[in-house]
Amino acid sequence: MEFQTFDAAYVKRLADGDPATESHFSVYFRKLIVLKLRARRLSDAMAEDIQQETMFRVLKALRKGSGVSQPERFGGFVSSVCNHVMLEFLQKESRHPQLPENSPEPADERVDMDASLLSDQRKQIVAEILNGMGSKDREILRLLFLEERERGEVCTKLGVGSEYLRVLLHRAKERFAQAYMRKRGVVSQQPRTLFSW
Amino acid sequence: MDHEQAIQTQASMRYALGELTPEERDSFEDHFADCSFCMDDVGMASAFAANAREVYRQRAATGTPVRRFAWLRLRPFPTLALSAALNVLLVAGVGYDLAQRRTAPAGGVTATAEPQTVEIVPIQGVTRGAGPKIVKASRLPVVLSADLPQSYAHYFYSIDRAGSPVLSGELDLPGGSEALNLQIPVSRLAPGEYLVTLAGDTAGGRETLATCTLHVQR
Repeated sequence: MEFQTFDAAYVKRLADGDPATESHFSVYFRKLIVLKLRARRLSDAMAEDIQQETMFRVLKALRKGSGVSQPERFGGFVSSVCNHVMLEFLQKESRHPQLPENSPEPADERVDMDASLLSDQRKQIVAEILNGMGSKDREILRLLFLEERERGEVCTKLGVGSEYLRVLLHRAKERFAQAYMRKRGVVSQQPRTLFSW
Repeated sequence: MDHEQAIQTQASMRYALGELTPEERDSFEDHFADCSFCMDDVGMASAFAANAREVYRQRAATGTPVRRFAWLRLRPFPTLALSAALNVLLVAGVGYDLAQRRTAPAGGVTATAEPQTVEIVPIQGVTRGAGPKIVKASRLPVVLSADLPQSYAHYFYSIDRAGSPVLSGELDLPGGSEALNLQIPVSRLAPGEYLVTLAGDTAGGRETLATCTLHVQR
């Protein structure tokens, strides 16, 4: 089962320049691109350039090029275009001269990427979830999220199995999701929710 | 990576934590680019990870201790109780029509006097390829459940018989819902075959979300 977002009608509306579809396209793929950049620890500063270039190339392909052979896989097509754009940007970056050995380390730009995900409300929800856990579980999550230790190392250090870790993370994420949607005033009839940026 | 693999392997959380290999990451991205469920799950996992990191960072910086007895306010409960709580919510929220003894307004639902079980039937979207699902019902209420791949501005239902509308109206659905659950007041329908249609409005027009054939028997 997949929750398909795109079909031939959507792609046609986008190619025809329908404003509502263009707006959805921009919002939806902004999310995708930010997630992809964050996963690769690239700076938020690159996000805007990569997003703009990706959108431009996709729309050009739809309106002047060969179009999309599988409209239901339109998201995958955009993701693939984004990958090419990212590679080009990274190759441009790599042509800059190397920093001297004794120069200060560049700031962790992944902090900038996290900024779009942070909010006081979300931090409060997470803090409450963490406060409701035992000290061992809190330490597990601290090692994973703050110290970025490998799962195997965390399991060995704290004497827990990988299944325990898997369930702990899953429940923490689901509690966060439910609490977040409750705060937004949404009563969910299913454990899963829609995430709003 | 397909959807089932993504769920089974907790790909969204592993993606948020940077634990996927480059090949797994690319494969998962190729999947969630077209799967709104996984896209949202990734967003939620990433938000949790980012905010958890920040909370730990702030606590380390300020030496803020964990609030004792916080468990008195937050009571995590086991999966079974959560499932039961959600079922109760579904029952209370949907409502039940004891139309054998009362008349409900056209297109509306009434609250029941007593809790009772209800059959929940998932019905497929029109894009899934298969024909309308056939649902058989007698007197007990039936709830038809359709996945919502996206949000819509408005939601509508219609129950037709032999091409003529019997019941129809607009539905009030909380924003962000991932499913549309429609209770059918079966006892108000005469025996026969009905076509139930769920639709949603976007800027581009009305889209049919799901249909099913309802066989009412006595």
